[in-house]
Amino acid sequence: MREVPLRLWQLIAAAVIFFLVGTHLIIMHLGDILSFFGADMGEPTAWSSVMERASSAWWTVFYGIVLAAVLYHGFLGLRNVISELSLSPAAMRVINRALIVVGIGIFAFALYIPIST
Amino acid sequence: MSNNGENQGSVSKLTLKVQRYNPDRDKAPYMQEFTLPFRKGMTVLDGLLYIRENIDSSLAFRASCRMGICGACAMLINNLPRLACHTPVEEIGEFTLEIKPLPNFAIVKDLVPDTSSMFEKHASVKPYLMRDDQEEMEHPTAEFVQSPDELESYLQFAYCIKCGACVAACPTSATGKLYLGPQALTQAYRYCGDSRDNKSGERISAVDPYYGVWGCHFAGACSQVCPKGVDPALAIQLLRRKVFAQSLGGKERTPSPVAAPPTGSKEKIPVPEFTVTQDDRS
Repeated sequence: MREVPLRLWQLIAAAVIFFLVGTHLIIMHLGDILSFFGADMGEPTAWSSVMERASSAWWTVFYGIVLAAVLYHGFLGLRNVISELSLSPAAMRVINRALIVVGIGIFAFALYIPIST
Repeated sequence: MSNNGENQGSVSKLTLKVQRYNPDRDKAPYMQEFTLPFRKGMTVLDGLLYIRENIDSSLAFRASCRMGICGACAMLINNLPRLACHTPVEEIGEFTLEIKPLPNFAIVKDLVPDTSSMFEKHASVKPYLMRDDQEEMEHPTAEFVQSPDELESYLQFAYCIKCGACVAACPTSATGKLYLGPQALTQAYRYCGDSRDNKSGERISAVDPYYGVWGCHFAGACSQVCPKGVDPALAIQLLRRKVFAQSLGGKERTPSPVAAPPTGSKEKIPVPEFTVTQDDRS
C-alpha cells in the first residue's frame, strides 16, 4: 500500500489543526484579548454560548472539520507507532481497518451532538 | 587517554575483549579476553588477525581488502560500528577494546554477522539504472552523458560499501525488522538522483510502504558512523522529497542522452622516453 497519500493528508491535517484549533483555543481562552479588539464572544464556556455555537451551521462545519482533522492526524500517528512493531502487512491491514472503523465511529458520535441540538 | 598501564610510545600489550558465539555449541554469546603484543600503527583488524594466527584459530570474523573498500570487517568496536581495518588502535585511545559483531543482524559465528537481510532489502529497491531505451541498455553503443554537476548530486551516496555500519547504528532498524534501513534507502536515492535513470517511479513504489522511507526517525546515527562519509540521513530526507514530488504529479526526468559514438581512431598517447620497450629488451 502506498503511504505517500496518507502522509500528504497528515501534513494537510496538521495545517488545518494549526489554524482551526488555534482559532478554537483563542475563542475559548483568550476572551479578554478578543474583547480588547472589539470581538466580544461572551463567556465561551457558558451553557448558552455552547448551545448557541452548537446550533449554528457555521460552527458545526467548523467543529466537523476540526474533528475530522484531529482524528485523522491522531489515528494516523497511532498507526505509525503500531507499524513499528514490525507487524506483517496482513496484520497491518486489520489494524488499518480497525482504526478506520473506530475513527469514523468517534467522528459520527462526536458530530451527532451539535447536529442533534 | 587510558593506556592500560602502558606508555604509548613503547606500549607492549593490547587487550581485546572479543564476543564469542558458536550457535551450534553455545547457548548465549560470551566475552573472551586476549592479550597480544601492540605495535605502533596497528589496526583492530591486525589485532584480530594476530589472535587467529597465534592464539586461537577458531576465532571467526570477516575481512578481505584491509583498506576500507570491501566493507567486510565492520564490527562493533567499543560500542561504535566501525571497520576494523580502518580503525587504528591509537585512534580509539584505549588499549583495552571490546569487540562485538554488528548489532541489528543475526550472528553467524563470533564476529560474523548475517547481513543477508540487508542485501535482500538492498536488492528490493532496484539499485541499478532503469531507462526507457532498453535496447541501448542491453547493447550499448556509447556512454550516457552526465555533467559533473549531475554526478555531484548523488556521488557521495555512491560511496556506500555495504558494510552495514549504518544499519547497525540505526535505532529504527533495531526495533523494526521490516524497516528497509538506511543502507537500502540511501541506495534508492542514489539511483533516483542519477540523471541517467528515468524510472524512479518503480523505485519509489518499493520505498513507499510503511516499512520504507517513512520509518526513519532522523536520529542521524547512520551518518555519524558511516566509514565512507556517506550521509544516509540526508539521502532519506531527499528521498522523501522525491516521493512527495512524484505523488504531487512530478514527472520522470528525461534521461541523459547517449553520447555520439566515437568516430575514427584516437590519437595514441606518446610513450614516455624512459619506457623500456620490447625492442630495447631484445
